[in-house]
Amino acid sequence: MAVPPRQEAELLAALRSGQEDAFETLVRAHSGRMLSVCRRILRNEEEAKDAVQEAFVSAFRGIQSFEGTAQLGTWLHRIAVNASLMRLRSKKRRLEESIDDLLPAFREDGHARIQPRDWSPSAVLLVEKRETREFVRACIDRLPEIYRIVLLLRDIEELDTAEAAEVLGVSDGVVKVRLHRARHALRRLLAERFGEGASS
Amino acid sequence: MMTCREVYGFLDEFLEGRLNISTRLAFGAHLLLCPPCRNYLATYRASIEAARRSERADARSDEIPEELIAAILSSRKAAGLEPRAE
Repeated sequence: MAVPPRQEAELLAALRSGQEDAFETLVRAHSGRMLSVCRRILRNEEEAKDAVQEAFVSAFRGIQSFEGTAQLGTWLHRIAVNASLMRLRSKKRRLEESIDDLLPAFREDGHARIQPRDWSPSAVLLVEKRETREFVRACIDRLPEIYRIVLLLRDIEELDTAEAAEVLGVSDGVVKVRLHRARHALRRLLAERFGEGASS
Repeated sequence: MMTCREVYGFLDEFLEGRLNISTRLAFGAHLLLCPPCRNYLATYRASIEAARRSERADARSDEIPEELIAAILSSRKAAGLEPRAE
């Protein structure tokens, strides 16, 4: 539920003056989207709820210094991403498969080893089914964490390269390389379900 | 002539419209002559779209538990962020 711009300015003023009902309005308007973001990053309902709570506490602390150049929703979205990433960093890493095995392979002359067929029309149709969407999410979860996170931040949460680099504490170049590898790897995993050509 | 390996390497720049004119021409020429690379591009793009739709379609954004809202508001009090009474 987005807050219209004029109402948002009034809401911001009310938050800054500490009006109690303004905080509830803010939470009711934005907690849904923030919870979705935290769920996507953390893949755990309780962790996601805790991250949303932490994100709001950060937002309440920072409301006086919020410059208002971005929309409140965009600002809160970034805070939720940060809170989720903080939680993720404190968690033990799961065992991961190497991404190298999921990247395209080439012959010495630069031609691809696998001649893919075009399964994009069936992918578009199949993703309408809940079962397929669950499969796609499971494929995303098979990516090593650093690649999964970049894919989520860039392709799902729509942070630009510089924003993703900032929240991850890496360079723009690192984000580009990770995204590139993550997309190739995901395509490879999806091809296992949607169909792929034989090696040549 | 650009190789398949080079085409694969330029996919993100192509999708974001960031290829310079000479690279874009070489990229396009390769695609014209290489159906497997055309297929790869189509499925690469479809994978991104499938990820986007899968992650967003089942977002339960309107189902916010009341207890979570209450917990968030009380955490503000617990953190001492309420204005103090005079």
